Amino acid sequence: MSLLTRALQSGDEYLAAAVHPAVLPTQRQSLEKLLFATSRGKRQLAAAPYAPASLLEALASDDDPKVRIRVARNPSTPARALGRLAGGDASTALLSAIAAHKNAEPAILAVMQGMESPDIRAALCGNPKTPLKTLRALLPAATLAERKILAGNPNADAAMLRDLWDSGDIYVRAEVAAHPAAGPGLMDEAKRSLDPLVRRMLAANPAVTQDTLVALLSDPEAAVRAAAVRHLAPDDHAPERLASDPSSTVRRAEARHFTLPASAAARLAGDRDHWVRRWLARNPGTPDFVLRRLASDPESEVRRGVGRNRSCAVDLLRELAQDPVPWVRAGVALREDAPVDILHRLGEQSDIDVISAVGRNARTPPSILERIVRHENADVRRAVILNKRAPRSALEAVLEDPYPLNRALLARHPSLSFADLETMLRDPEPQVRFTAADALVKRPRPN
Amino acid sequence: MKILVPVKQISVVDEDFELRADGKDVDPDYLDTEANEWDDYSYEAALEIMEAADGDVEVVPVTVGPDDAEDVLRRCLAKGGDRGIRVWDDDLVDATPAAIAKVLAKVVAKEQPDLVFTGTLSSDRSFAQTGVSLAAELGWPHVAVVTGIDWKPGDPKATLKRELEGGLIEEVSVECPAVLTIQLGINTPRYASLRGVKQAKEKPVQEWSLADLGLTGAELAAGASFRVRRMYKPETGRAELIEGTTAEQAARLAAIINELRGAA
Repeated sequence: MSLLTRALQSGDEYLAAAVHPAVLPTQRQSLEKLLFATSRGKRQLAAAPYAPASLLEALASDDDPKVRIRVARNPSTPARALGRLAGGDASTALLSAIAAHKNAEPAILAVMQGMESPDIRAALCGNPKTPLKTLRALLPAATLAERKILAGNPNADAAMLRDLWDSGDIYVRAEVAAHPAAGPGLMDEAKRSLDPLVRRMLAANPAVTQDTLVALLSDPEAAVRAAAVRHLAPDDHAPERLASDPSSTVRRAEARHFTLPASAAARLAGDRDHWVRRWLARNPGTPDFVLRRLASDPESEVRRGVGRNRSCAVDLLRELAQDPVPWVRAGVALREDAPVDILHRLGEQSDIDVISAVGRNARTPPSILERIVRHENADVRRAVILNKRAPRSALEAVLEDPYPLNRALLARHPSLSFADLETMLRDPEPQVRFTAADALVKRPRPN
Repeated sequence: MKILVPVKQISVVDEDFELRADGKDVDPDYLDTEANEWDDYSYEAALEIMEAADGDVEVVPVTVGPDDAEDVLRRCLAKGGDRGIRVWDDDLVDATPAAIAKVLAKVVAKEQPDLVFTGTLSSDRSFAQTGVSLAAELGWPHVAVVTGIDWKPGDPKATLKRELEGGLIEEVSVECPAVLTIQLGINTPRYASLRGVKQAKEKPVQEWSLADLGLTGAELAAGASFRVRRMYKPETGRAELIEGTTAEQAARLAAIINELRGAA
């Protein structure tokens, strides 16, 4: 029986919703009779984040304004449906929703530029799809609040940003300072700004020069120095000095830096702030001798960081696999490059975090997964369900998992067979039926 | 030995709703339904006693609600129990907890349970009255907000725990039969197996009207403890919408926190 026939015969709205995008337009009409039978059903579908684009397009022509506005607010609504909504008898609230929508076409947004509604103007100012020409048209009459939004729009150009800088308050200037399109002149002014917020935002600007960042490393404000450290390219900073910076914020940022020299890493490994040591433990650039020192840190989160670090040597992993704290051992169990004998040993343990991590690990052998998946704890079983490399043999035991969320997530698993998914179409939980039908629609049938 | 467990299908209000034309409730077109969370715990508590007694205890879920409320009974029966009871009559639309208690009291009179477990409250109306009103109707003792039960079939008394303010636990004993209102967290409610869900579809649900229980709508209306005058959305209070750029919002939020801490 085809999915379409099954949806129509069963009257299952969830099945019908999943099948809708995959059938011919004439067949869609019969599904819509079922799906749009009640105004409540239509409103629910119009707001549902899972609703397929084809359904939202159909609902965009609905007579009920409450349905249409939900379609306009639904982040999954496609550009064509938004265009249809904008072309009809649209209220201000509906147009505001379209103006704020990330799928709206620039041409539709441009048509709205002359509208006086503050909500529509604010939405246009903030929408990354709004074209530069429209942003320019909005600028002359823009309120201070609108200027703040305009300054953050990625389509703003250097000329607009200059205007905003000259006319705005400190927050507008801070947004301008962080904007990649701010030219060298504006960036230079931002560097000399007396306000630390402006200098901090400048340090976060992806287009800022390395020279400026190096200069900002000497800023009196810790937050500015920390932002500069985060964005500095390798070898352009002064790690030795920063590793002893009085601000822990700066040292934390430094501890994350990939090209941290060994001497600075060694100094940070003894930092009194455990967040500094945690970031250092997770940093793949941290040298081996420092990781070994951190592996015996009194803070378990630091030791877990070492275990999660892809640069951690296998012998160190073996050591951490015997840590007295289960959370640390769970960190090791998550490592896809962990030797199989470690996974075997950790898979025998009773702690839920540890065996969940083993269940989630793509390298865990099927024999271990087949055992873990029978665990009484639903979270442990879910870990195996979320393991995309789990073979069907390991998933068989959870096909009838009593926890509905587990079955819904299982329906997305690539190892399930067509027969499994077809069985799931009869599940009592609507979410499971929808997901199974959606998977069947999207998966190519075997020859 | 029998435990009767009243369960309820509650209403969940849609995010964008309208009120009924009479202004006394939400337009049903904007309501969804689901099982009351507290009842998951009370039903689990009854099932645990049933399973520990190895067949000497019958657990019977009962609901007062229209046709689609049968779903909550089937949901219970999927976890355990062999039959359910649904009571409905058009005169029960908008029934107060006191009226529901009168109906349940008649069910108790027919079923003769040893204990009645209700949820402490239902999340849609939050009266927390049905259980205690039922006990008053029956003239039975009751204990509210129960977080632990020690009772075996045949015990003349049940020993119960109640959680109080400040993390205190009060241990009480109550003579049976009694009505207990069960609090969230007393146990970990199970999920029904797929087999259980299938089997529940075949289990009998008795349907009783007010007449079957010897009641009339007029009788219930006369005993109504209150009536709804109107329902409305109050004016927005002192909430401040923090606007501006992200940095500006963060600065304002920090200022508010400092203000509240007395630091500014």
